[in-house]
Amino acid sequence: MHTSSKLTKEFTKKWVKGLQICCSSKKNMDVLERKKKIKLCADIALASAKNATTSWSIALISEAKKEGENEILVDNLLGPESPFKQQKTIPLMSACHKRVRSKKILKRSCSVGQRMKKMGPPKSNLAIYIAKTLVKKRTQVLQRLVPGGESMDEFSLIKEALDYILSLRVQVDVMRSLAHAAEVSNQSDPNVFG
Amino acid sequence: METDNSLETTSSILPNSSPNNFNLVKEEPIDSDSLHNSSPNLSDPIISKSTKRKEREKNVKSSAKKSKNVANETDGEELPYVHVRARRGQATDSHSLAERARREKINARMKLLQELVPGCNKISGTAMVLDEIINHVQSLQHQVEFLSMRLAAVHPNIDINLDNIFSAESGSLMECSFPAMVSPQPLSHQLWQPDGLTPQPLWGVEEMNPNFITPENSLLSYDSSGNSVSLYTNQLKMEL
Repeated sequence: MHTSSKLTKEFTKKWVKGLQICCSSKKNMDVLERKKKIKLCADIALASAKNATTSWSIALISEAKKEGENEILVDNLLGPESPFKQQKTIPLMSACHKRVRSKKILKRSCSVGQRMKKMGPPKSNLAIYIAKTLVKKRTQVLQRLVPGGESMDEFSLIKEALDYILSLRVQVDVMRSLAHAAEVSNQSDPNVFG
Repeated sequence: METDNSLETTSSILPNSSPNNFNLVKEEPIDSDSLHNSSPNLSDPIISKSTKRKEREKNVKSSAKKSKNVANETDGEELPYVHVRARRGQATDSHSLAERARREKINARMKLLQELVPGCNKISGTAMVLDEIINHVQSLQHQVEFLSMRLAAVHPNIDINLDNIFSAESGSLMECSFPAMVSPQPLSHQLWQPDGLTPQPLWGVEEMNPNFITPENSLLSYDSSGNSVSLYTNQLKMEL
């Protein structure tokens, strides 16, 4: 698993860097704010460690950039290449969204019309129809989970989901070890953080 | 009129002949017009041979079947009356072939996903596998949330020297710390028990659990497997 160890290193570096940037800007944040910042840094670090090779990472970063305050953080974290890519892909993605949505509406209206005609099908078709709707619902849910999933067709969605799962695992591993280490050190020197 | 009668007779014959009868009988009036137009095209050789009613009935039947089959299988074709020897259920046109290829690609990828997600190998059926994948992704995302909460709760501010240490030792630390994190669990259990401390599971606990570890034990458990982590804890002490 060479790629995952490489990803781990990249992610850790960027996350730590992001955390440093975060805390240098503000002080005296409450727990929830801190949590948000930590999570944000982790997400952006994960996405940028991919170097814009996957569309979910691009989508994640563009989503994070939408809020004004995060932009500086994001720009500092990322290298020079990816921001430029994102500026191009954002209008593309919104166009894709619209196209996909209009296509979906058309498809739905057509399929409904077809279904009305074919009412009273033999039982095998009914089972297939049910199975297909089940799969469709689940792919919709998966589209919502994977960042930027709405503008993907089934095939690339599965590919993106694969990659996303791998990266999430890396993220969880790193965060867990850091959290544990921090807690251990907290235990060892409880006076320091008082 | 004659053709209408012939069609009516064919409609009585058809229910016995084919399973498509249901649809055919409904769409007879539509088919009759199109058949009038197409019959010279399709069954030219047959019509040219004889013009008796029986022959025409046969033509109507066969061409009706053919056209029906074609209409069933080709969704977007403009000429429904091309010679098609295909029967129902067999795909010969590019649309269904492309769909089949696409489906095979998707199934191959689904198999990959099945291997990746634990516990998916035994499940059959796309919907169930997708269920498991969705659950896995959701659980991973929840874990990230919990872990960031944990981290936020540990420090009063994010600005800790750990970050400096991490950035300094970036790669090597993480590589060493992972086996260090994993292996001392059995060792630490042995260390805990003589002290009478309650051994709590370190992993898989995503809430804020107070870890009852004495500093010596923690350092010892790390030292046994790797020196780098003990180095960093010492550095912490020095800097703080």
